[in-house]
Amino acid sequence: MSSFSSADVAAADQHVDALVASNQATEALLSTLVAPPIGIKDAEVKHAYRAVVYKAIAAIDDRDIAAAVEALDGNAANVLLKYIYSALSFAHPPTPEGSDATSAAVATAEQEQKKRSASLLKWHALVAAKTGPGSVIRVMTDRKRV
Amino acid sequence: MIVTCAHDRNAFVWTYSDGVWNPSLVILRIEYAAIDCKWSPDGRKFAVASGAKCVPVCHYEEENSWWVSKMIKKPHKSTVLCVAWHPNSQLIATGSSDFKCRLFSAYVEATDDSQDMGPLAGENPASFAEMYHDWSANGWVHCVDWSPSGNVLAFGAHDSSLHVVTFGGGAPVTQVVRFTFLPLCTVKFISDAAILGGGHDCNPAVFANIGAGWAFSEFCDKKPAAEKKAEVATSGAAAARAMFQNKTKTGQTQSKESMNDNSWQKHQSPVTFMQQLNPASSTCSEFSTTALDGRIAVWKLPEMDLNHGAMGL
Repeated sequence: MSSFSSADVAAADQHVDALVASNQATEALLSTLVAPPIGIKDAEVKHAYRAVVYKAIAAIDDRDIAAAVEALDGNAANVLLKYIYSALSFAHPPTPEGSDATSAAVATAEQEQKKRSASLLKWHALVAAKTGPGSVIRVMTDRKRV
Repeated sequence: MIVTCAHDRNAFVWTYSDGVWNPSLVILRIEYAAIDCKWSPDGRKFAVASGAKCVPVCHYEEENSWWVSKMIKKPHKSTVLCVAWHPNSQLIATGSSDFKCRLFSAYVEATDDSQDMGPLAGENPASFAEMYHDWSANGWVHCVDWSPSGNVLAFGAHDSSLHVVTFGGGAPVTQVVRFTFLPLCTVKFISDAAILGGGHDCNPAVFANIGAGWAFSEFCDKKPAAEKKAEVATSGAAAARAMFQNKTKTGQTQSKESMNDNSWQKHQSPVTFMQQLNPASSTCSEFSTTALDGRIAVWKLPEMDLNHGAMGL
């Protein structure tokens, strides 16, 4: 875990891309949850890995969320819940500011943000139903942050 | 004798004579609150878990007729929340809000005969207040308990986990049970293969070790089969009236079952303490639970639908 480097992040990224391209989005997500860099000191690496996980989550269509959650085992579900909470903590894509902030651009950005939050909340509902309030407590108490 | 301790940094030992309980103050020498206190199984010492990051262990000194405290201090980094004596009265496990459970020697030469290593046979005997082992969790360690045989130690932490450490032959082996419900406040062995946990779900939970390691078995309090419910008004004025009526009657807006409806449970608040009621010398057949709602409930194990044989009950 302490030896996780940006090379590992890049490798994970490519792996996810490959699996998503060949229509195996669930496997892509599962592969990111197996040995995540939780609790390591390097914030850059963690940040980069988060983006890989978010990509894997976004690659799964809303209709397929239930099936994907079924495929998770207890540990993977707990890890995924951490990433879901971290994904919910910011808006994406970022609302354009300054000279980019035309009303049309802002409107589309906000639309995308709403869609993303809605699907993340669907993920949360299904994963939390599977792992119970105990897993939410674990997300809150675990010092080893995602 | 009864020992009591309070957040006012004092502890009293109460003795009964001629129909009156007489308190005698024990000088604990702590600057912060006392959280928990327990008698050792042989009744000659007691330990107090305190907010001063230490555990005063007190024994009676005949010459001066008073209780003297010796401190177990290092290496607690924060409040000690709970203490549990090993059946041999010479080892003490502590749970702290620094996320660790630790095992100390509580061998007091003045009171104890010879040093008994209990489940740590094979390790070097340590003097009073020396730490043998420690284990980490991801949350405050709220509760800790030893099995009747003294070979297994369990502690519950705030990250909804129950850690079970088995001693005997070499290094202690830990198993962590991460369960799906809310954290435990209190933990109690009812046999060497079954643990009861009471916590924020207001329902005692049974964890059992029947072959494949420790795992959550079931809750003691089971929801009765759905009874016929009165018609729920759904239209306009009637629904509004029903909502306000329910708010005054049950404190909840819906008369239908909401996700957090636990009115069918014996306890409505977190369970904070559990105790075996039938004599300690025999297997647990009855236990009581107390909760923050002020209720004491008595549970009879033989009547519950559990795998009694495998659990050693």
